[in-house]
Amino acid sequence: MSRSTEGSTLERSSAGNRVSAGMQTTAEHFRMLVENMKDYAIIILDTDGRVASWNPGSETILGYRSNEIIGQHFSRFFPSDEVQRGKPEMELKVATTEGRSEDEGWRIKKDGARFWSNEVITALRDESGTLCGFGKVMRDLTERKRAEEKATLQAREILEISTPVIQIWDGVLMAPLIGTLDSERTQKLMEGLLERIVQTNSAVALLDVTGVPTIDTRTAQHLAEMTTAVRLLGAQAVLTGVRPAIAQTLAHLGVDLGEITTRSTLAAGFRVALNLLSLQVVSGNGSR
Amino acid sequence: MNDSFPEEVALRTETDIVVVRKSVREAAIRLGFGITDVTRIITAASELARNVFLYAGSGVVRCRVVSRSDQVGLELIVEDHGPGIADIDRAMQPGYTTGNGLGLGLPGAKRLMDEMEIESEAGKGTKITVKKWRKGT
Amino acid sequence: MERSPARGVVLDVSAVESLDSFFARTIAETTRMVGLMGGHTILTGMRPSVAITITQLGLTLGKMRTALTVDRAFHILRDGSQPVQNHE
Repeated sequence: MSRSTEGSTLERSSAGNRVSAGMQTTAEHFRMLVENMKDYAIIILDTDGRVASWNPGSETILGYRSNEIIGQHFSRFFPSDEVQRGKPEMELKVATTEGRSEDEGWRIKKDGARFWSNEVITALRDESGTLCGFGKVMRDLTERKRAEEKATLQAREILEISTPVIQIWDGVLMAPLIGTLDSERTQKLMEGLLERIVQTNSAVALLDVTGVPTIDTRTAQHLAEMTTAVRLLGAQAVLTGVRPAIAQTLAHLGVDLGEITTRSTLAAGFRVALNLLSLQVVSGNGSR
Repeated sequence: MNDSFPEEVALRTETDIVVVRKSVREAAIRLGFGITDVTRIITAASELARNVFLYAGSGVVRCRVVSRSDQVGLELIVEDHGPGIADIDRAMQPGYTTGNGLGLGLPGAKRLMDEMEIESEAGKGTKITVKKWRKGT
Repeated sequence: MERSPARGVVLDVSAVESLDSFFARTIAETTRMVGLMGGHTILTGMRPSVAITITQLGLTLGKMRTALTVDRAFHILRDGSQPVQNHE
């Protein structure tokens, strides 16, 4: 049996490993494992961060063949803004001082495409503790990342679409509008609001736009439609949280808010609501 | 596309508009439209049928189910052999009327529905096709 | 209206499932006539689906008065022209 000295060294280093004689050495097993890990890029970097070894998984994930990449600096896997911020050097530095560095982020393939990488970089030291390079393991988790992003987006959409309508006083409803008001949301909100007005017999609905970042012509039209529909039921809508900037935008857009009662704060709107309610109780005169 | 249950209502008298509203309402509810969409469809049908009665005297309203990739919808075809619409662009402007209506019929029906197509020839007649797609699911 | 001391008319449209521009014009005309006789017209009980639809259709019903319920409509009619004081 022509067992090499190198092999026996490795066998010694993995004392306790029950590899029976006649079977392949641990080093060969390890090599096979690395060669067959198609889902993992396993890369050895020299102390400067240049690629020293490249497994087939690396080629699958990053797209470079080993003869193209060996000797190149690993910073080319990072997006340019990350390189500018010194991210690759930082990883090596952390791995050197802490032993390892773990990260997730967008990395760049040979053809320029992005992939979401989950990666660990480990400092490789010899028996005397001298740094002789780094081991880097990367996994492509783009699909998981996209699924997560989609879920987050959906959650936000659901939150945005289902605007709650809250009864804040006997006869007063409040709908806190958040985010952008597109047609579909407006329709849903309008249906919900009008149903609640009828259910709770509320004479005033406060539409609070404090959480609406900007109001364009279309949003203003939606708000105007909503106020008209509320009025047709026999109730009144008051637009609250109309900051001076928004009021100016509306005026600039040529939106006539003459028919719509607006207040800059919810509290001021609430006072209007109470006033309208007391007018109805005292005089029964709904006109302004 | 032709998974339809075509319903045809002849428009001859003003009371036929009521029949149009009723049959369109049933078709929309059967298709699973929400209450507000049902109301929109009935109202659009009513506006278009009223126009036929006002401008052409008589005509026909057809209603059928249409589908595309993953959505189903209701299509209404309102057809007459009246004088036709001379200026469609103008007829689509709110408030414009040649008769004694409010001038909301065509633009209003367009806003209530998702799609509208007008074919009209002077002296020959008018064919208006509107569609509403069912949202969600 | 002629034989009662009513000050106006309450139009309860709670049973109306759809309202087109023709019907709206009828309402507007009624309101005008009642106005000529010195009374108010108050529209009440409109369904949410109808309110949304006619708003989208482009109808606003102008200065037409509205009330959530028939009770409230009568309240407005009864006290509409009275000075502000407590009536029950």
